[in-house]
Amino acid sequence: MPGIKLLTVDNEIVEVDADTAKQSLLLRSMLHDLGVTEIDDDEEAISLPHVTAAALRKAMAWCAHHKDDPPPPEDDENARDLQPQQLSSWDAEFLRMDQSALFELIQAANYLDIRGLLDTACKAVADAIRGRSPEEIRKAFNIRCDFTPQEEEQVRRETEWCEEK
Amino acid sequence: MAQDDFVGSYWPCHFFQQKHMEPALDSPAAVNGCRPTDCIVPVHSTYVGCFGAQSGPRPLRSRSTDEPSGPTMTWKGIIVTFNTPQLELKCSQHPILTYFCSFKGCTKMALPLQPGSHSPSQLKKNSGLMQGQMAAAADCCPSSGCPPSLLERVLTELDQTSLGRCAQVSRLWHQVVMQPLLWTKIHIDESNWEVRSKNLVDEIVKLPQLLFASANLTCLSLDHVEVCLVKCPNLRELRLIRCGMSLTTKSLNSLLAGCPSLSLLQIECKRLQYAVDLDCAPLLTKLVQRLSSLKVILISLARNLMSIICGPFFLAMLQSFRSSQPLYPKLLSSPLDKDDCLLESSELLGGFPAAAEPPARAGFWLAEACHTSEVIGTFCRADWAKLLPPRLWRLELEGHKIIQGTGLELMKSLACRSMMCAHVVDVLVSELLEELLIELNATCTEFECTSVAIAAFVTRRSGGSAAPVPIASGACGRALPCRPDRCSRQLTAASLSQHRQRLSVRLTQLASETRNSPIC
Repeated sequence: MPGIKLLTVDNEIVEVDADTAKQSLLLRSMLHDLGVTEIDDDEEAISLPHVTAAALRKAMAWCAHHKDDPPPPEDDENARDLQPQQLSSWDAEFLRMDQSALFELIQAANYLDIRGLLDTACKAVADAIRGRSPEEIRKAFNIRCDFTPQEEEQVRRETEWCEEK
Repeated sequence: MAQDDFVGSYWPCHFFQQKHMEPALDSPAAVNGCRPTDCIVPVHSTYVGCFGAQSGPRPLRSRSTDEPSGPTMTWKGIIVTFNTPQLELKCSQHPILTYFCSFKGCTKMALPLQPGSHSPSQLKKNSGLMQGQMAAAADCCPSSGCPPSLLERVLTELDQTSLGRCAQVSRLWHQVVMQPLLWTKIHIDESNWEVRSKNLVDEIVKLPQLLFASANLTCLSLDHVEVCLVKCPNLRELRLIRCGMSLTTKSLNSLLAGCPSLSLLQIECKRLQYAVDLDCAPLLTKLVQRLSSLKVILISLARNLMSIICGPFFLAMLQSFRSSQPLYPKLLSSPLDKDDCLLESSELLGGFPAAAEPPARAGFWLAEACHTSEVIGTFCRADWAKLLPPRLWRLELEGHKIIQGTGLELMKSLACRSMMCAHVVDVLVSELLEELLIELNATCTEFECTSVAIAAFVTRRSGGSAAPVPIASGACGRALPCRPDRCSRQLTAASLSQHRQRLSVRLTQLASETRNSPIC
């Protein structure tokens, strides 16, 4: 099985299966354009300056599990009207990690252009936001509130109508 | 292209060293002084090119030169190859090169492009922005949190309640949330805030204002809110719940004018205020005139609408099928009080004019509008064959009292229609079904039946008795004993197969307490 070497931002070389890696559209087009077909010991690792080794491994694990999935449907206006789909139990379990790791994974998926993973991970983050108060969101995502009290009150009034009973 | 168009797009850059890679090509016409973006040659998914440090930028050329070039190509990225590791390009040459120069020793760089910056001309325009974007991306360390563009991506999954809370989290989040892009579905309810028409334009409520101007708003529900202010060019679904107070001909006119993309309009109100019959008819006629672009109108609970719906409105709607594109209009209305039903059969007798080009697949759904025998009776007295659109392919009727005489006429006229492929009838009596089964057209592929009376009847018939046993008319509408699975099987196998039709028969609403009856 041909593999390729990827150098992550934390200076770790991760060897991944080329077929799995091709689910990343970025890697796929790079491999195509570079004509990389098989592993070559002389080959230097491809540097991925925005991906941590942990996120890369996670992303590749996701790709490996989903490698037989049908391609995601094209963006369709109507598709967005549908009820948001629940994550599969495998995905939900797979994405059980703390928020910062999840964001790293999202960034990796975005950078590597793995649409399925990006969608899935974004849903997982959205699920973590849903139903929480602003304060709880800050806590979960480790965000400091930088509003002045006046601003906070104004924003609260501006968005009051959003609350659905 | 305004800088704003770039907000949110993310330009990660990525570089790697590649020793063995020769410059993809050697251009004879080494274009000195040519700006790199001028040299970019489209390849169908990726741009490959090289910049020579000694002779200035060389033209980029695709690997597969036979690919047609043009602005319609999809750009997925640029791979730039430097043929010397130490770049000495003049930084003033181009922002892209300036950026490249910052990576000493780098010989190859992949720049994934974002959707929306696809054409070469756009890239040219954007290239001035690339530097800042890429630098910003490069600065964004994975551990420093989610960049706004990805936060925005996450927030697209959320509903308005969550968005409203996210806006209160921090300034950055507030900024991201306030983008109209994220707000595609809005529900404003009197119960959650005193949002009324004047509030919608009050300064204090900036968000709704922003939203109404939003090109992305496609779905809006207003509950007990005055509606005359709604002007959303891209609004596709509008639900007006208890907005009857403000729904007048005038406000509806402005609404329809302000929302040209509307394809679903739901009006749900007890009573259209002021909309006494005189006012109501033109209002609904307006709606009907929009049927070509308005695919679905749902009107419910408006009791005083009924008399109009059943009369001129109904006819007008039927007529609108003629000119409209293939569509599936639905008219849903509430149970009809007998007193409200003042249907004059003469209003329906005008018939349905033959259309020059009838819609290919017009569907038509009358749900619960036909609750009274008077309505059905009138429909039946009018000549259905003339009244209905010539190529109507689906008709759903949920009437409780399709009684023998008129019902039979009705069903016969339906059954002989060549395009009809579904009939839904709530309660039919035995003779009616017998006639119907005989007359069902060969094109009929689906027969859905919610009537226990039919089930019982068919069971008997398929049970071997030579002559159908009519069910007493008094039994109509009451749950008759039968077993659903058995009935449907017999119905399919014995009774309907002789018609050589693919009839899927669904029998529902069977009362469980009747299963042990001898009829099965």
